[in-house]
Amino acid sequence: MRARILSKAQAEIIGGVLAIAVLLMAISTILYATFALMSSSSTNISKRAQFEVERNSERISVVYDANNYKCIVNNTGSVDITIVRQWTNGMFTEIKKDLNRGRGLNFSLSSAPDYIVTSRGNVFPVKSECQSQVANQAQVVNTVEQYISAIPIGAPFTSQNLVATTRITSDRACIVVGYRYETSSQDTPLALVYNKSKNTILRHQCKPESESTYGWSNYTPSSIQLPQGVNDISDIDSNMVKEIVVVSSTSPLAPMSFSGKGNVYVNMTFYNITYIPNITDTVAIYYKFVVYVPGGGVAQQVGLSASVSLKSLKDGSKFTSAGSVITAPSRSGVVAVVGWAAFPKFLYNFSEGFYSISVVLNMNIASSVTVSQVNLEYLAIVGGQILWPPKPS
Amino acid sequence: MKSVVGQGEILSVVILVGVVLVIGTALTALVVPQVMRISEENNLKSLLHTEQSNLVLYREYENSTHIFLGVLRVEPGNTRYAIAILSQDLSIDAIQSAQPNIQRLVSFPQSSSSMTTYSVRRSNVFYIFGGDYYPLPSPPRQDYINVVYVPEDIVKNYVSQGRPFVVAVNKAVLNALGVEKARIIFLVQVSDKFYEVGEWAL
Repeated sequence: MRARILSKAQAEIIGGVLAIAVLLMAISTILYATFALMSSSSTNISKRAQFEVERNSERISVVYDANNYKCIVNNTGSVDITIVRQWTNGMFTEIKKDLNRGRGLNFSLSSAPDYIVTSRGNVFPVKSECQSQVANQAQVVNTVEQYISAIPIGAPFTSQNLVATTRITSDRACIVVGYRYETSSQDTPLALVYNKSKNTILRHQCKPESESTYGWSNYTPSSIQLPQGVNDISDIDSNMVKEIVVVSSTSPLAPMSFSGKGNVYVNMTFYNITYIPNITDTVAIYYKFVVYVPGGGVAQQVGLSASVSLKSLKDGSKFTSAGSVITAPSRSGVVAVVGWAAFPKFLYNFSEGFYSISVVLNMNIASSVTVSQVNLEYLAIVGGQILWPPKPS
Repeated sequence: MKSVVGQGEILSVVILVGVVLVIGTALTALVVPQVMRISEENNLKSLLHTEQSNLVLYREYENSTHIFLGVLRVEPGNTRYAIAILSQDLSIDAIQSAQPNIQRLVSFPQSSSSMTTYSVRRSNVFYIFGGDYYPLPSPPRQDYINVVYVPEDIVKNYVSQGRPFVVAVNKAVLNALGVEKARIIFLVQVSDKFYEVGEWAL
């Protein structure tokens, strides 16, 4: 009887062990799966958090280098960046550029992308940042009101805005000069010279379509024919600032003269000279011609006026403003023609882009009067970035 | 007499062990499917968590007609996403409405392959709401939606290399289809079901 009881107990124990084993197996499997899920989720969250930290650590700064006309993209963040795409005018280009911490990438203003995209999915604006700095450096006058109120103060432009001396003789300079009488329908081409120093005369005759004609070259004329009473053809108003001189396109060197046949138009087009950023409201162009009308101390009858045009290189649209001209004749026959023209965006509705500037000097010359020389001392641009780098001295 | 008693004991032990085995097997049969189901659910959750945490969506570029979404899989992998474009209330399937010119609505500018679309039962598409998955509601006579697969060359050249790719969606076409506010839903396929792993609202 005792042995029988023990056998039943054994069987119950075996059964119990089996049942517990099955339950333990089930519970452990469920627990394992749950812990595996928790571990996997935790790992995923941790990896994503790490990624977001790196992503948010990506920083760039865009700096405009006015000396070299470059937009510089600097990695100022704490992680290395890989640029995988750049967007320009609504189109993207695949690239792969590593931008390590503290390093920079250069773009010219014209080729700077609108946006760059990093491998971590950050999008950074480049061109707009650069343009805003260009505008700041170009001393943008933001409203017409500011512009008008700035004039009486007396300094409507600064050295940075000036195209003169080293900038006007830039290697990138392309100035197309021509003249026509009112009876003619097209310009006759002319050339320019600049008396840089006693032994160095520079000459310029440019065709925009031919880059080899850009810039100035040394010139040794077969002979020099100066107007009577002129010692230095490049500073006829003796103010210590050299001017560029309009000459005939053929040798020998002689300033171009214009005799009395009614209206004569001398047209100077400064090709691709300025970039006007989007945020510019008003572009103002200033200029100074120096004209020599010899008369032996007797007043000569010459009417002088000028007009200025902006011409877009993108679509060829042209905006013209007569502006204002002040003439200051002297007893010696030297006349300074100083003027300016304003282009408020509200009126002209021009767009951001690269522009040429034309200045047309209109001389109404009475019969028997001769204008012996026409020089340009400076051009100044407010509201646009001057694209011609100075020629190294 | 002694041998009869011994036989009886053995018999009762065998019967008892048999009963225990039957009960144990029945219990196992009851528990194992539950364990399998829980384990499968966990595996699916784990997969979806992984895909959700790996997907980064961002606006790369936008103009008046298009939005270019940047899509990045943080950890390089071979996940082939499917994309559904639905109205805000999930009732209008823009991809189906744009047929047969789906390329006008959605395109992959970096791909040279043609797009593959797939018609899938709404009840097999699960979207996330409040952290949980729910099957897409089925308006009358709209049992299916169309999804567009990310092309194979995009998977090969971008997703599997951890590089961001671009999906272009034409907002003008969406407006023309009467979808003013759209949900661009990124899905992954598990067997015959599609699960949302990321979404961009337009």
